[in-house]
Amino acid sequence: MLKMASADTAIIAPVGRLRSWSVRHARFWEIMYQMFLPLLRFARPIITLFPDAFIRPLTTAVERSLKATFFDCNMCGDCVLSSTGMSCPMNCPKSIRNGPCGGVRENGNCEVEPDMRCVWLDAWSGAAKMQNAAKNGWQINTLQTPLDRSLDGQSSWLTVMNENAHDTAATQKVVSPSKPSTSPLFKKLNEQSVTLTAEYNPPDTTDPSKILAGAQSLLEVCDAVNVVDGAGGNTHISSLSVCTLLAQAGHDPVMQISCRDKNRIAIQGEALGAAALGIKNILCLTGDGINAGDQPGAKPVFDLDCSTLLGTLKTMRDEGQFTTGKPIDTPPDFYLGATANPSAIEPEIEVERIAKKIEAGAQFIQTQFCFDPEVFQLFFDRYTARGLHEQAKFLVGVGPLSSAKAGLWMRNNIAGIRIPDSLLERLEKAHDQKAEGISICVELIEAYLKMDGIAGLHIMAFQQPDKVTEIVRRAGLRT
Amino acid sequence: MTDYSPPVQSPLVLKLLNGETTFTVEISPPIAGSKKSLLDQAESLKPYIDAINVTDNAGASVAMSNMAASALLIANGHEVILQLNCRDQNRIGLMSDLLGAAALGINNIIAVRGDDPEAGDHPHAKPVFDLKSHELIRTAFEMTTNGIVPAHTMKIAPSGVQSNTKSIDEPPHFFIGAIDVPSLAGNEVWASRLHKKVASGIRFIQTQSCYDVEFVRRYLEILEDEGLAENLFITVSNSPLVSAQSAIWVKENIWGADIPDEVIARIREAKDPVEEGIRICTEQVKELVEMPGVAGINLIERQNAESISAVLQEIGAENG
Repeated sequence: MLKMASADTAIIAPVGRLRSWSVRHARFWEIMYQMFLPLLRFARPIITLFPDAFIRPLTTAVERSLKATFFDCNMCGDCVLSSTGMSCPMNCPKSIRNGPCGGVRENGNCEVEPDMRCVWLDAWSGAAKMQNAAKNGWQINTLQTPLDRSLDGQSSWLTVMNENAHDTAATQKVVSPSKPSTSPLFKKLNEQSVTLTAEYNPPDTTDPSKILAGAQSLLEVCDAVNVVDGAGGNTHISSLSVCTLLAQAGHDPVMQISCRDKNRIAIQGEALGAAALGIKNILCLTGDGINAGDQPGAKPVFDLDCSTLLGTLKTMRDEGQFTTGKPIDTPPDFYLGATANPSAIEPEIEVERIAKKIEAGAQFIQTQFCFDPEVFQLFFDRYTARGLHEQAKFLVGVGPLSSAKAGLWMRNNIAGIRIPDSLLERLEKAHDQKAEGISICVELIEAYLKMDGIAGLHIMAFQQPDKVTEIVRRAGLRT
Repeated sequence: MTDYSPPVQSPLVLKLLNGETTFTVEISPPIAGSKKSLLDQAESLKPYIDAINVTDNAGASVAMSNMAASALLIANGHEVILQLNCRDQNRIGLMSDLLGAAALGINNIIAVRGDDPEAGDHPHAKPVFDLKSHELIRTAFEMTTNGIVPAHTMKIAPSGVQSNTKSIDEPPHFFIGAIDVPSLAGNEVWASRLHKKVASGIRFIQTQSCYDVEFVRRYLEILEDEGLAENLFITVSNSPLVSAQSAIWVKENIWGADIPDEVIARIREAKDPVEEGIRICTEQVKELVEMPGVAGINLIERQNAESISAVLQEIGAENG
């Protein structure tokens, strides 16, 4: 399966080269587009003289062959090339419309397809070459709405042609202010100096008492647990059902929703269900690639991405309706979160990406592991300079490394994680690597908590609740 | 083959095994972020039925997740039948829902394909269709009988080909069913599909709405001829009609639901069409209950909750 995929990439490599040429010459394509757009609108009255049955297939065929050649276009029917630095986001294996994701490799390549450069890093470099960056602000910063999948295979040119120039300018929506959340986590984040959340990977069991017991041990020292949704692309018990058990037992879980396995119908249904069950906190994720997990043959869904998911849930809460306009009886009261990766190789892009998530609706941020305070500082200075720490509560992700070997495995296998060599050497030399891993984690916590703008910590220790307790106690955060 | 007896975890299954007729009502959860309307409706049905059948974003329109709705119903003492569609989730999502369902105490599952998104209120959504319904059935079956999360593919790792099955602590006890359309019965495609589902592990069939008792009789005969009747419990769906107009709508819009012209005419000519709908449904249900091979009755709620209660009361009075 995986071998097949790399063979395919080899065959299409020349096409990929043309695509990166287009990104390098984004300014050229921008000029072409600016000339082409009035031409399209001008052509409209002439084209309407011909029957649609003739014009549509013709335009579609021309558009397809041209854009497929230069952009590896997939004919999604809703072209955003001019907002994405002439790099087509549909070539992203997660078809993210607001990227990049947090899984970009250290060499700038894709998490899912290791031989391909990240489509979204390309997009940002393309955007930098375009004039609209200077003139109208960066178009790449525009929050893209969920893609209309019913347009699949249709011509975007015809859509543009039939669009009123006036309409496109007036898409900005009036945003209604959010009410203060009733979530206990929201309250704690606002009242406590340090709030602690922990990642909960439930065991593969159908016994509710075992599921609850695992979370309970984390809740002895933490304020809330995040219940993962198919973490790492592996099949585990559904986040909604575990959160249901936790909510029924009187806890305040953070339900993670990933876009990998469900389309917007299922996701919105789950969100309504969560609301009815009293689950308030939802962490929105794009989700890991399918190839990382135990079902490599599964179909990647990615109907939404993290940002469009946030926007969808925010609309449900603040406007009491679905994005289609259909009303909801008793709108849900969500406290919405998103993820960040402070070790991302391009901190500027990462900060802009989180700004987009906050614009879309994120009220709190939980980050991926960060093992290097210097790298973190570099990112966080930009983040606070942008004022983002005042717009959303920020929780730094930390966790223990159990050995140098485990650290190396994480660095090589979990996308987006960076662990400095010095840290691995320190572990290697330690007499008791496990204890050293905990000491490192405690030191990191102390370093992070010295910085201004940190609301709390998100602790990730895969199925080792006793380590979480030890870390929290040794850091002097809880007794 | 699929030689297993249905798990006797659920009272519904016990009743079926004892040869008693079961009564279920199929509902679609509300488009709401609160539980009240769902629980009120369920409460009114409780005295008359054995289980509530909860649809999964039926007609490709978004409603409260049926997992959440089922959890609420179970917490309030109802037994549920959970429908799962293949349209909205890939196999990872479906399998995590199956595990979650078991943890929430859901034992009865119906696997459906699901209508295309164009049919519903979110036509812009991406249709998933990663698994076919018989594959979903097989998945639930393997979880039950072998206690594993099955692998549909092998994973190629640097160390070689690995099978990714993993075992489940406390395996689920699913009683698995499928929806069948009697009006298709008899043709070859129908037969091969149903055989495939049976081989994959279904133990009961819930029919699409049937408003013609003779039709059901013929359907049961065909199942007998195909050798399918022996291992399956057949529950027949019906629903009280409320007007000639809605009857025509059902006939034209619900796939596989056939309403004879005489029935529509009876409703149209009646002084009180709602009363007449209740009367027709009651008559048909009484006849179906007596029919050998009919294991249960499923009444589908389509904005006719009051009529359904009336029918159930009539039949309950009769049985009592």
